[in-house]
Amino acid sequence: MSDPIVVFDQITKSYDGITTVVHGLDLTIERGEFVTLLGPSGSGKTTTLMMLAGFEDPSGGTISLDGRLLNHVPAHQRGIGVVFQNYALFPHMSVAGNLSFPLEMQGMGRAEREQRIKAALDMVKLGPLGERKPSELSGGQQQRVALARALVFQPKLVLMDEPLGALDKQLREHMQIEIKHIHEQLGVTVVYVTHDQSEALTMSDRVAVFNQGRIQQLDSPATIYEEPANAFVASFIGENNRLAGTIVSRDARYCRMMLADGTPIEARVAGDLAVGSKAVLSLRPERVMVGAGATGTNAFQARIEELIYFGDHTRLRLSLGGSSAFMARTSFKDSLSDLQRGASVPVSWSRECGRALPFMEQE
Amino acid sequence: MVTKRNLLAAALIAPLLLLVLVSFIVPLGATLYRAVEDAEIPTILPQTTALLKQWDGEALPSEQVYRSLITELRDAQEQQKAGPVLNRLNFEETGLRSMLLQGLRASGRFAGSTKEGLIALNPRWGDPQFWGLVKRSTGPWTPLYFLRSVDLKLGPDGAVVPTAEEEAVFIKLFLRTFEISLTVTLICAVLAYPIAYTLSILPQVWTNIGIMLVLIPFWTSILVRTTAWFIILQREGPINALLISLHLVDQPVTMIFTRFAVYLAMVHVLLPFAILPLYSVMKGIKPDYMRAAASLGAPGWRRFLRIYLPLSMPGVAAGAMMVFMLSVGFYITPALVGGSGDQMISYFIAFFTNTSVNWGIAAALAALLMGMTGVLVAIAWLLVPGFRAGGVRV
Repeated sequence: MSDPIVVFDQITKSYDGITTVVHGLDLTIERGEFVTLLGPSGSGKTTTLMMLAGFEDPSGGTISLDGRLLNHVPAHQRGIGVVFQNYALFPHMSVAGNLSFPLEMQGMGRAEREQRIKAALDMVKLGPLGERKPSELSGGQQQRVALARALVFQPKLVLMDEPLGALDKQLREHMQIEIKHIHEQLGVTVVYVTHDQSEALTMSDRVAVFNQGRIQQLDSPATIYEEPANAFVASFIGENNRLAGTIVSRDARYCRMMLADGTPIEARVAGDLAVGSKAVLSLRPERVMVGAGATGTNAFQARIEELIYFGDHTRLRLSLGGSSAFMARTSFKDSLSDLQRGASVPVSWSRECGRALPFMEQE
Repeated sequence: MVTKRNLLAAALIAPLLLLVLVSFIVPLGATLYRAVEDAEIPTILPQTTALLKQWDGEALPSEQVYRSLITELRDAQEQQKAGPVLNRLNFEETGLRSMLLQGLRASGRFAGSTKEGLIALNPRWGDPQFWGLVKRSTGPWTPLYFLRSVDLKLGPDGAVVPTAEEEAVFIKLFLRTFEISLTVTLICAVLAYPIAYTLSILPQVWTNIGIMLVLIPFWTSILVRTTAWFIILQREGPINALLISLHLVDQPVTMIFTRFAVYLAMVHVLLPFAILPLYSVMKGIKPDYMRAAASLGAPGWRRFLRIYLPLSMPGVAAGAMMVFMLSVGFYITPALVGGSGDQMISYFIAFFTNTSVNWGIAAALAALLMGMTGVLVAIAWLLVPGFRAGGVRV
C-alpha cells in the first residue's frame, strides 16, 4: 500500500552554478513515515531538507507534497513544520507566544489557540512554562518548545534539522525516544536530518544515506546496517573492518576472496562484483567470535595488539589479513581470561556476516 | 598573588580614570556649580557684602554702605574687575549697569555725603528695593540662572514671577531644540533602517564597500561638511542652477537659511551614527528566525512586523539615542545653514560662554539641557521595549 506524501523527482541543486550539491535526487516518502537523511557534513542532506521546506529553490527537478507541485510555492504556504538545529525560538516572545504564532497566522481565535497551546505544551511535558522567555529555559526545554511549535499547527509534514545536535548525550538519547513516541502518537510524517548514525538507526522507519550529493542507500535501519550497499555506507554506519582483496570465485550469494596477504575468506557478495575484480571485505567487529569457541568457515589465529576496555564490552585490536587494525568486539559470552597483549587467539566469523563490496578509489 | 594582580590592574586603569576625572567629571561638576554659584559680588565687593549682611533690609542703608559700594567699585574698575559685578547686577535688573556707572562717575564730585549725592543723581539710589537686589546678589548661591533658563525670575519681593515677554526666549528655544532633534532623529532612523538592512544582507565584499561609504563622511570635519551644504544650497548654488536649467523653477528656490537646510545638513552629518548600531544588530539576527516564521505560515510583511522589527529594535534604539544626543548639542550646523528662527539652545550656550561672558546662565542652560535630555531618554527607555536591549537576546 503506497501513499506517497513527498516525491523528489530528479532534484538538482547548485548554489553557484559550478559545484553541484545535490545530483538528480529521487526520493519518495510515504505518509506517516519517519525518514532520516543521514550523511557527513556537505553531503547534501540539509540542502535537500531546505528545498523541501522552501528556503532554497532547486536548480532542476520537481518536488511535490501531497500531489501538489511545490517548486513555486513560498515557504509560508507549504504548511510544513520545521525544527531548526539551534531551535530559532523567537527570543522576544514567551514560550506561549512562540506557540501561538503559527496559530495566529492561521487566523485562529483566542480560545482555540489557548487550548491548542496547552495541549502542545502538555505533549512535550512543559505545561507550566508557557510564560517563560526562551532564554530562561535549558537547552533541553528549548528543544521541546521548538518541537511543540513545529507541531502545534498540525502540519502534515515535520522537518527536523539535526534537532538534538546541541544536547548532551544522555538528553539526546532520551529525546530520541520521546520524538519517536510523539511521531507514533500523532502519525505525522517526519523527515529528519542528522549526521549521527545511531540516532538515524534508533528513530527511523527508513534511512537515506547521503554522500557527495547522492543517496547511497535508502532502506530500513536493519538493512542499512546489516547489508550496506557499498563501502561508503558500510564505513559510515557503525564500526567496520575493511580488508582489501580480490574476488577469486563466486556464486549468486557467496564468494571467495583473497586478501592482500593471501588469506582466503568466504563472504556474501554484492550483485555485480565479477571474478578477478578488486573488492573490500566489510565485517562488523561484533560479528567476530574470539577465543576457544571460534570455529567455522573463516577461522584464523590472530595476534592481539591492544585491549581496549569499555565497561560493557572489550575491544581487541588484532593483526589479521595484512591489517594490524582489525577490530573485534568481545562480550561476556567470550572467555576473556587468556586475552592479553601479544597473545595469539583463535578468531572466526560466519560467511553470512562478511560482505564483499566494490572497491572504491577514494579508499 | 591576587592582591598583586589587583594592584597591577588598578595601576593600568589609573591613567584612564584620571583622564576621565580630569577631562570629564571635574569640568562637568565645575560647570554645573557655576549655574548656582553667586561669587562676583562677595569676591569683588567683600566689605559691602559684609555690611549688607547686617542690613535689616527695610530702612535705607547707612552712608557707610553707600561709600563702601562706591569705593570698592572704583577700586575694582581701576583693576578692570568691575565688569562681572556690573553684569551680575544688570542681569538682576536691566538698567542697573548704567545707573552704577553714572553714580561712579559722579561720585568724585560729591561735596558731602555720598548717600545724598547718589540719591540726588538718581532717586533709585534711595529705593530700599535696589539695595534688596544688591543684598540678594551677595551669594553664595542663587537660583536666578536656573529661573531665567525657564523664563522666570525673582520679583523684587523675592517671589518667582515670569520674565518680561521680550526676555522670555529660553522655553521657546528648548522646545525648538527638541523639535529639531526629534525630527532629525526620526528622519535618520527611517533612512538608516533600509540602508543598514541592505548592508546586513549583502555579500561580505559589498558590505565592506558599503560600510566604507558610510564612514567616508567621517574623514572630513563637521565644519567642512556643513560649509559644503552652505555652498550647495545657496541661491546661486549648483542645486538652483540645475533646477533652473531644467526649467523646473523660474526663480531660485530659497534653501539656505531655512529649517529644511538645517534638517538636510544635520541628517547628513548624523546618519552614520544611526546606521552603524542598526547594522551590527541586524547582522546578528540569524536568518533562521525568518525561516522559522515562514515555516510557521507568516508571509513576508508579517515576518517583518512580528519578528524582524522587534529583533532589530535594540539597534533602532541605540542609533536613535546616539543621533538624538548628538543633535541636541548641535550648533555649528544650524548657525551656518539655518535662519535666525532655526538656532538651537547650544548656540546660546556658546554665545553666553564666549561673547556675553555670562557663565552662570550658560551653565544653567547646559545643565537644564542635560537634565531634559536625560529625562527624555529615560522616558524612551521606559516606553520603547527595544531600549532595554538586555531583555532581548539576539
